[in-house]
Amino acid sequence: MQQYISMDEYALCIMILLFIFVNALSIFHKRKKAQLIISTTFLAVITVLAIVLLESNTYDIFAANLLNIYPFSMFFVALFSVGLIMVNIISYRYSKDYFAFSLLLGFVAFGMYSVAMAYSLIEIVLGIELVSLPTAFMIMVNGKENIEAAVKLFILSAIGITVLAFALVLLFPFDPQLSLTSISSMTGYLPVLALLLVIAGLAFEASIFPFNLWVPDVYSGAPANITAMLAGINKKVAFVALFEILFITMIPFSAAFSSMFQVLAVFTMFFGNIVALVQDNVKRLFAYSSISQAGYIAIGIAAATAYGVESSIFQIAAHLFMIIGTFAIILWLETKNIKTVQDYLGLSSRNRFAAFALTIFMLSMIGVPPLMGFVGKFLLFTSAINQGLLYLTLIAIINSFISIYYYARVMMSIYSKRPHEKVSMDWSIATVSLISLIVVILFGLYPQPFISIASTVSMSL
Amino acid sequence: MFALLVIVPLLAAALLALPLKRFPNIVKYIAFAASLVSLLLAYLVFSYGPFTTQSFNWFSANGISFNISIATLPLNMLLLMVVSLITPLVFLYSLGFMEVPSEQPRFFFEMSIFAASMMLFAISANFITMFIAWEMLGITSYLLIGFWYHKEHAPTAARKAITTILIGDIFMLAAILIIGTTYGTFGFSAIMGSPSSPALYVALSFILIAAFTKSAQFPFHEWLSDAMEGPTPVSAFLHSSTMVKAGVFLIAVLFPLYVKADMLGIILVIGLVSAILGATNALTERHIKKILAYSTIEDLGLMFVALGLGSVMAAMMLFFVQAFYKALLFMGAGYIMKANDEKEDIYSTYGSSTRKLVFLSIVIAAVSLAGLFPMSGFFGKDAVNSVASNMVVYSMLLLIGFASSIYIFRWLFIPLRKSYESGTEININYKSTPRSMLIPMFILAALVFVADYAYLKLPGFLNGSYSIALLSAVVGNVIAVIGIIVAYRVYMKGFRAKLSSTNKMLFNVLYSSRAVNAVYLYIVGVTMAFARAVSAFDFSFDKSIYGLARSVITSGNGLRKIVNGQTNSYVFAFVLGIMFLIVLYVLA
Repeated sequence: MQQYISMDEYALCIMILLFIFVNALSIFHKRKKAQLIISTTFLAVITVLAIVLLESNTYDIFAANLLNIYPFSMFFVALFSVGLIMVNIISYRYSKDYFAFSLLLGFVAFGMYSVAMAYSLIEIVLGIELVSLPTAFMIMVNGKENIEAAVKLFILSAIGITVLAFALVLLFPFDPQLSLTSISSMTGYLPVLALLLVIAGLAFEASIFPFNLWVPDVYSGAPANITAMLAGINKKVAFVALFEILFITMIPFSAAFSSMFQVLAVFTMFFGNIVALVQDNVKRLFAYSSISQAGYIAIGIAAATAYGVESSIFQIAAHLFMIIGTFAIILWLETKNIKTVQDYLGLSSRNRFAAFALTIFMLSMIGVPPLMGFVGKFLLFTSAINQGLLYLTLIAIINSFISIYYYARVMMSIYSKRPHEKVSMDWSIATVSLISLIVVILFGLYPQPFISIASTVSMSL
Repeated sequence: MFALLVIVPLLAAALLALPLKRFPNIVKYIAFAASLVSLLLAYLVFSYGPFTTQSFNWFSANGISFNISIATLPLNMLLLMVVSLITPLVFLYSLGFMEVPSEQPRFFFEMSIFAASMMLFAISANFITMFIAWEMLGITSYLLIGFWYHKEHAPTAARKAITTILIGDIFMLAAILIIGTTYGTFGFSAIMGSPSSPALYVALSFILIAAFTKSAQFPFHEWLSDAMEGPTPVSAFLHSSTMVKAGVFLIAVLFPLYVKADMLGIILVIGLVSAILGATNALTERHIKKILAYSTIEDLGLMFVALGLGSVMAAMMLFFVQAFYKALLFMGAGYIMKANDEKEDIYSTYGSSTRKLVFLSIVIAAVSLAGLFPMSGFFGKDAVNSVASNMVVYSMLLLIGFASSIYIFRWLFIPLRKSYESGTEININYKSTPRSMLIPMFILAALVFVADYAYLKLPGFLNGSYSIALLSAVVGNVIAVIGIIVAYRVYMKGFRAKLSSTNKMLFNVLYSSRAVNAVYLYIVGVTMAFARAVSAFDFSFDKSIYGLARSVITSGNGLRKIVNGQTNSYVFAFVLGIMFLIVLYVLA
């Protein structure tokens, strides 16, 4: 038995390295379809291996104390791989330079995996860096019109990472190893400062107010496939790092960060939802919507319990699928020059599947039962109430209802009647949005397996 | 799980409706057939189903299980019966009413979901199931009220409805979460068996607010009269068996909790205020459907009064019989409007002598609303009157009864006042009304007669202690008859034509809306003054909703300016954010 498990671990490690290698090769062989198949296969294999390790409940520290294999890390390796598969598929057609994209995707993936499987705080910082900087380049290789967004992301992530690195320096006296374990003897103001800087640096990536002002610019300035990755995966990586640092290293300060995240969650939700009310550009609207979703996810951190983390994990997974599906459709419609809410008028007569899928994603983001978003929000709200945070729950509910106004505006214009000629959807967009749609509906109707996984995952933290 | 089958045909029809956009004819018959199948299944549940509660696990987290659970207890059966009876009739009416083929698939899609969610609501046995149905009702009603979005006021009315309902939904969700985390369960019966706690008071008052928004009770009643912008079948459906009944029904289901929490007084007062408000508004309104809408507010208020007086039976009696006469009245209104080129003012609509039978059935419904023996409306209203132990409440109820018999016959007599000399065009219009609109009206007229009997035959506790007190019955009837006579003298008997030539002043008093207000102010005195005060408050309430929305949007514009595209200001915000965190930490 032991033999098999370690085999899987080796295989996972080798697969990840191979994946980066073959993706790097893509700029030499320049075979588009082959590259798509190869990277999708690798990611799928990584997903399967991670799920196997997750199911077998393995706890192991592997590869010279670099990779920490436990349910939490394996869950996120699998989740991020699925997300990357979807982003990879939609980028195949709509990326200006798919080979450069593939190369960078390898780095991004490695960054994500190292954050998820981090055993030391250094790995987390390097992982975050490996995620955000190649993303900036991904935006840049798409053409001149995207450079502004890319530079913004580059500069601001650089600042975020610097702050994060500085936080580690402050923790160094307490644990020279900087390993991801609970540090018991933390006294004085240094660890407090470190805590604040960690939150600031990661809140930047996780798009939590007031560190998120770059989000609408970059999200709407980047091509929609990259935006899908930014909103769907990169942001979640920051949340994973937050979970790891806050709930393992900083756990003595749980009361402090809980109260901070309560306030941050309230501001983030209101900021996202209120500004979204007046957006006309659909991409920007969903940028703000994803900010507000980050606010909901932060409620789980504010609850600061295993149940809270479990709910956040569920909502992270739900939002990953919803937002990647949404941005896939937005990406495809942008190439048809359909960008604003007005342009969406009569979308249902142009393409019924796109209209239906978008509606379901939006309903799920609102939190309409029985979709995945509802379950996620319900778990988050109960986790908050369990901790006596009734006011936070009420504010979150009010925010959910504010959000109906802007989602309903898009839905109304989608379904208002304007006879239009049909627009057909190509396979890559159709596949990705169909996968998301199935996940959102299926795990809304039958969320139990996902909840149990999220529960073991949060317990393992 | 058998009872859950009832909603399946309707959902299937809804799923078929949109893909079959090109065959509107098939779609409408599929929807109608589905509603008949639902009725059949409801009948089977009704006759063979035991009184049980069943549930299956949806998901569980942190020790709380989220179940979908349904009940076929007497109350559930009652509502299921009403909805499944009214649905096919409304669908049949809609076959004729919705003439534009391109609108039909969307209409039947939304209507089927609307009906299915109300049936799900009827059989729900815990808060989770109930909330799913509750939300679906809200969303579909929003779509249906705004169905003719090209009409001038329809989008506004729909938005007003959804705003009010969403306020209720916020409270409802909060209440559910509070209950779930305090008791660890969501089942109605489990919570009723648990000891009460302070949290329960909060939750119960939240639920009460939610019920008031859904059932259009003061101060949340404004949306219902505006909801008339929707197609008439929608109004007939919404006012009789779906949507607005949900609030009353929920309170009836949770009634033991309200008794335990000693909150009946609030229910009584709000119900009474709403009933008075509805009755007085109905007296002065001129819009043919809005009169009926205010009358619904009054009826629902009376149901709350009955609950507040501690009698679920009386409330459910009125609940049951009201569905039939109100559906019939709305269908009649739609019928009259259609023949009069969609005119909505009762003073510019006319009746006709060509369809005597149809008008007879409308009269039956009106008599039933007025509460005359032997129509079923009498039994409903008398049940409420007879539980009024308090003299003040009783006299208020009599006054409301008097007003309702006046306004409903005002509603009827004004269009009928010169039916015989009216133009031939209207007669032709009446004649050409599709038969599918008329049949359900006849069926409903028959049901209005027998509803009380059917109710008394219902199983369970619902008819436990029903008896008619002779004195109260006579008083109620006499008052209703006086009301009808007054209405007849004032609105019917050529009074108007004669008056306009002889006595200009009196004519103005009686027939111009503002002058009528003055007269009623004189007659009703205190009541009306109170109603005025309340409506002023209500107006400001409505304003405050919009004010909030607008200020939210303007602040959105203000916030947007922060996000100005300048990287350095983002960095500045970052620094500010760190300072903000420090302040937060110090405060914590």
